[in-house]
Amino acid sequence: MTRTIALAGNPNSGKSTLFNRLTGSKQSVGNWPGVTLERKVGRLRQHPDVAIVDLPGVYSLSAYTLEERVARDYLLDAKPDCIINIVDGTNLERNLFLTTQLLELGIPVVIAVNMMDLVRHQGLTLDTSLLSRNLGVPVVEISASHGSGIDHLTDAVLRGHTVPALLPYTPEHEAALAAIMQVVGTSNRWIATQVFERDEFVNPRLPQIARVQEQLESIITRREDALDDDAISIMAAERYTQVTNVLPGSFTSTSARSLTLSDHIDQIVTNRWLALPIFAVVMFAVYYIAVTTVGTYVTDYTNDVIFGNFVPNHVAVWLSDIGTAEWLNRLVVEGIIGGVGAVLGFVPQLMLLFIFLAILEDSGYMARVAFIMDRAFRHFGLSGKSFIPMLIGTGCSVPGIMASRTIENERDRKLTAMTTSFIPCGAKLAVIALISGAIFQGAWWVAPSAYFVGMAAVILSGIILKKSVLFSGDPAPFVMELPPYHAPRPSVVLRSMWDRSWAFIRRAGTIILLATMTIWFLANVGWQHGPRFVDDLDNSFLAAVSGSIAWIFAPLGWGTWQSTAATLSGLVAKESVVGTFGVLYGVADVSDDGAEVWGQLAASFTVLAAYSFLLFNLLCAPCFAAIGAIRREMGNGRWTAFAVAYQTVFAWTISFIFYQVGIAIRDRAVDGWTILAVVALAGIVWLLVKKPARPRRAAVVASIGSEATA
Amino acid sequence: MIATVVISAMLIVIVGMIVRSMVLKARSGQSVGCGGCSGCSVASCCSRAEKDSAQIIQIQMPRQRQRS
Repeated sequence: MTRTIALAGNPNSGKSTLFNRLTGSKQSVGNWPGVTLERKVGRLRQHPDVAIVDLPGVYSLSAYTLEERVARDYLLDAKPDCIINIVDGTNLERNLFLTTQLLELGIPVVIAVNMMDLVRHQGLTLDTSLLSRNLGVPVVEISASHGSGIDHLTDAVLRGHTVPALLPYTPEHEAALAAIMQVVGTSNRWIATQVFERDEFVNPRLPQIARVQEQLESIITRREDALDDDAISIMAAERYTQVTNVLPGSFTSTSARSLTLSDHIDQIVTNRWLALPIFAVVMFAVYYIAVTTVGTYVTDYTNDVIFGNFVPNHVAVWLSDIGTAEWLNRLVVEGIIGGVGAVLGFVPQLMLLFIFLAILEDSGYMARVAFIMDRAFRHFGLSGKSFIPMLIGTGCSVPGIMASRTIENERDRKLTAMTTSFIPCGAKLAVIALISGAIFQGAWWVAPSAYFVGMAAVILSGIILKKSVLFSGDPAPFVMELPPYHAPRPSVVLRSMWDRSWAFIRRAGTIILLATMTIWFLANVGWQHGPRFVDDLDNSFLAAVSGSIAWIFAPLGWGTWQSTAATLSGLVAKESVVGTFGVLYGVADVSDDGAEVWGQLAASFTVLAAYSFLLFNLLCAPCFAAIGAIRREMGNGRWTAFAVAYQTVFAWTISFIFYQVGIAIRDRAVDGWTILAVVALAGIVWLLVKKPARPRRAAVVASIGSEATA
Repeated sequence: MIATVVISAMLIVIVGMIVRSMVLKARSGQSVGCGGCSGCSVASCCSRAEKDSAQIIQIQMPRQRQRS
């Protein structure tokens, strides 16, 4: 029979790290709150009959947020055999607030005090035996990141325990809760506390509550009048009193609490004036080093020597030697190796980027970025919480978009899901690196600019959309716990890098392989008295189909069928843009070092057209997988269609303005396109500065209704 | 001729296996286009883990009802 252990604790208390330690799994661990959005399930190491359920991080079981609802519903409905309550030893008082609620659920609890290494480092001492006696449950010291105390915790959990005794409230409050329990006929004190807080969540569980509503109101109001406070505040104060009562003697500080190293770093890094410039410099350095300097040497070697020369030449010779047909030889060399190889060639740059991002995440800096961005985002009506999905989206937009579900406000959630894919994901990095290397000869500014273009697109879209009736409204308050800085752990950094890189490599071997083979066939087969291979790719099916809509992109400077085909293939996966170019331009004769493949590409673009192409592919509709994720988060097809249409029109307009204004400046000449571009630019400026629309009353009521019932 | 048939057959098998794996992923609720669940912080939203979790809840619920 399966025993179930639930893992519950505050956000960023180390739950996901402990989950990985207990189960041996390799779930992603982010050094910012909200990594666990829904419950995860694993099996306890060496105990396959014990299931561990990792719940989202919550500060309480009152259902203010989606995470709290998920955690509370699971604990009440599934009733696990035991709860491991992981608490951050460096923030014990605040973490024990949740503990006071868990102890009332009627489920055995084992408390794991995490980050004990930091507790000692800060000069704090914890008497776990005394704390255990005071709380009436086992308390185990652990350090999830270092793996210490995990065996003791496992033993404590497997030993099995009885339901903990209830901690006492003040006599007056005990009397009030006892009266509520008697009136509604329940023996569960936590339910009584929720009734006291007037939490409507308990109503379906207590059908009789409607009949005794007046009696309950009388009990609650009497207490509110006596303390001149509201019920929720009274309940919170009572719980903090419980915490205060159990801590004396068990938790002491042996040194005067002074500013920690993290505090000193934060004084600079989150400084009102320095924070954004520091963030800009950091991200510039990350993209510059990963794409333009160190990364480019390895990628050049991979592209030019391995996939540009060694592999295709040897495979071509081998296929000829064994006597394969010419078309098959070309399919394998030009289609598969040319296409997939072009994508894989950028893996070194990608790995380097992921290493840097993992270092920033694990050190604690990225959590500060969400805090820093809160100031910027708040100006246009979003909170820093919207930036966390964008941080996650730097690996892949799909989890980034899905992470938007942590945002409670429905309109902000939709806006975040729509704009998350503007931030370059790993797949887009291949496109960025290709354009940067092949056309701009590795110019220092191209790769970093792509990231800042993504950020600017998020901010511009936020300002524009927030002024519309659909998205208007004040930003939700953003409360976030900043984890202390620590040296990045090599194992965490390398695993994060490998997980993300492997995802990229797997896509290259599956969906990109299928896409490049399809592109090769479509580019080499045309209609000449029936379907047959063509000598000139301009006569192919791909040229016919892409050429028929290439006029749409002509005002952007790249209205060729090849560029159109590459852009369309990006809907399958963004790496496919690179793969398609690899297939289409790999057909040309290649020099010994393979450089002519990208030379052909460079010859088909001007500098302005190349950057316009990059802009469009960065900002337009994401791949089908990401569109599917948007569909899941939006909840209906019309919103999804709106999101995709907005992204595509926005991308086209930005690329159009850039290219036409750029041409006008370069040639010092104005034509009809220039005037249209200036009109479009004026339109965007107007959308940015116009007065925000007031939400219609009906829309507001509907929105509030949907949020209340969600 | 034989080499062409053999290499073509190998490619067809590879393509078939890729399509099959994508269909299986889609049926199990996973995203076809993204790179996989390892390392994904929201894996439980679309992966088999969610089903596993739901199964555990279903197993637990009757037992809890019996207890009560």
